[in-house]
Amino acid sequence: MTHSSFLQDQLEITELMEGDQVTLKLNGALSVTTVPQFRQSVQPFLDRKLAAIVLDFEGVTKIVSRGVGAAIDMAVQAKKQGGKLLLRNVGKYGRSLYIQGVHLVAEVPELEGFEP
Amino acid sequence: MSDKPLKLMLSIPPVEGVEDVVIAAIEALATKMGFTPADTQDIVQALTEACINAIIYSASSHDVEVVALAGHSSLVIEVRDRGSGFDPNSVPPPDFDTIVSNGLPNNGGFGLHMIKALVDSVDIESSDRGTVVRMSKFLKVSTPN
Repeated sequence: MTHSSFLQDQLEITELMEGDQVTLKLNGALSVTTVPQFRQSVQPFLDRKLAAIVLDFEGVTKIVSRGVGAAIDMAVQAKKQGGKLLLRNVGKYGRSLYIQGVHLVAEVPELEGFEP
Repeated sequence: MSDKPLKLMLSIPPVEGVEDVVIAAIEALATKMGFTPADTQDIVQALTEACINAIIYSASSHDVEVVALAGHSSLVIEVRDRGSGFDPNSVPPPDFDTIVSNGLPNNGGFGLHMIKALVDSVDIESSDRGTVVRMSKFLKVSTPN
């Protein structure tokens, strides 16, 4: 595999702190290229042992299983520390997230009562 | 007009991110064929996983070929790479008990599971000359009231 700078997937993450909770708005692709950046951006908030980390998927343009795997990993880590990971605005990606079992470790309000 | 399936062939270099172009084309095709938005998204997601596997795991410099056969009642998509191949039976299904307690530190292993869950049938042929992932999605026939 090679990378092409002008075609490479991009992911922008903006943060909003509200007390003991942070909302991270994802804009762009959650792909193989951007997963390391995704992990690196969320890890400091996991290290702070916040009560909740909210991932807002409204601006996500593409997901791959590896990106969902990273979110699962973050949710497990948050849970072990007594916190939680929430996923909001998952929209059309709901079924893919469900298949990977994200709802088993993270709170995903849109997947409550979801039938694949 | 012929009743034979319409065949589309697209070829992309093994460059991550370029698969978006093929996926957009297949998404347009699925929509035009009458697949629901949910089924079209399933096709898009399955094709994304298949293309990513072909690009990053095949470790080949050859192009990845995507062939779509659009019939009246189904869409068949083949993703072909010329990598060194793998044993599809060696990929275990996900162990959710372990995932819930330990997470997924290496991120991987979900692509094939995703593909199998999202399309109606999957057939994988792999050898040391490459891999073909053949995915089929059937159009649901709406029954008149």
